[in-house]
Amino acid sequence: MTYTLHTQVGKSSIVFQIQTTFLYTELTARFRSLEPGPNHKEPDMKVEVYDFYGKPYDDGPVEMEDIGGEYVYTRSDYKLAAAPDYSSAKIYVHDDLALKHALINLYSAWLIHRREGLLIHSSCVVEHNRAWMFAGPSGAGKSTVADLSVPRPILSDEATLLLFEPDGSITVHDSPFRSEMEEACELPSSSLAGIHFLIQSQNVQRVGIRKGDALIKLIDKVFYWEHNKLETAKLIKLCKQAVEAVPAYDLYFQKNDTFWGVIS
Amino acid sequence: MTILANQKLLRQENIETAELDGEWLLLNIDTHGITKVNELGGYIWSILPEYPTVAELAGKIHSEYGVELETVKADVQAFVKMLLEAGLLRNE
Repeated sequence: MTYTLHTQVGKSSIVFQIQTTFLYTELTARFRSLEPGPNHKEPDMKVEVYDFYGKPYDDGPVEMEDIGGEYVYTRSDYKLAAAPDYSSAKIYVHDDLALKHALINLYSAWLIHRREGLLIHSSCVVEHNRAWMFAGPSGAGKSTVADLSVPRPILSDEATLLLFEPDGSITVHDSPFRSEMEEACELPSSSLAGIHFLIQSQNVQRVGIRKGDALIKLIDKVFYWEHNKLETAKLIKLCKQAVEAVPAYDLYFQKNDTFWGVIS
Repeated sequence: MTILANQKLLRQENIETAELDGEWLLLNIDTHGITKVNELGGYIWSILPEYPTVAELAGKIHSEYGVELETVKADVQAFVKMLLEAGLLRNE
């Protein structure tokens, strides 16, 4: 392998072995390089990344198979082969989009497997040291919310990284999985204050929703490709933990920044 | 569908439950179906392994809540029918 990149995501250390300069450039743009000290431990995850795989993404699904003790996820533009505990993986990609998706897939599966957290299709913005998450269907305005919230710190514009603390609280960490706002956040993390589900509307208002309804909506927003029932059960428990820990709301909003008036 | 009062009922496997704000969600991992039931429905779900027939469930609820037995039987019958149709229970 040509390049090595040591990095940290949330609380986990990852070492990438990278085949090409193109992939190295892509990864160093998203992941901070942290050279390990003399007493460094084994990384939590080892990932080998190879180029020249497949063809561009064709809107097809992710296929999953259990091949000889490895979980293999295949899409037209990437193949991901992971150890059953996700501590090591090989990723073969076509382009930068494939690389991002494969890494989201791997990291989300790793978090759920270890019951450490969730990677959620949403944006997350910090105001007064409290992190507010914004989820919704494609086109609902997740990244628009992040864009309109500048200069507030943006922890994510596409995939929010939640980690569960031993005391039951939830911390949102700076997400390396970004769509447009590629700059790393000035804050490494912030405590999660609440979850918003976005609904476009002429009237700006925020309505609290029941935890059961929040659970149903949240499960649907986690990056997760089902491969076994135990992992799905873990996913449900983690989502339940999240909606028990913080309030959830439907946020009716127009694409301007007046929605902050009903939040803070 | 008529369910006999003494017909044994079994909970399907691979159902995750979540109790939140007095509501119960029954999540079927095989079908991805989600069924929301109220607190009494959740209670019936939770005691079903110990009281696996309509007659036993009705008897237990009658003694716990003091509601008239015939009314309870009819309600439990209707609820169990819904769970069977939702694929959450099966007959032995």
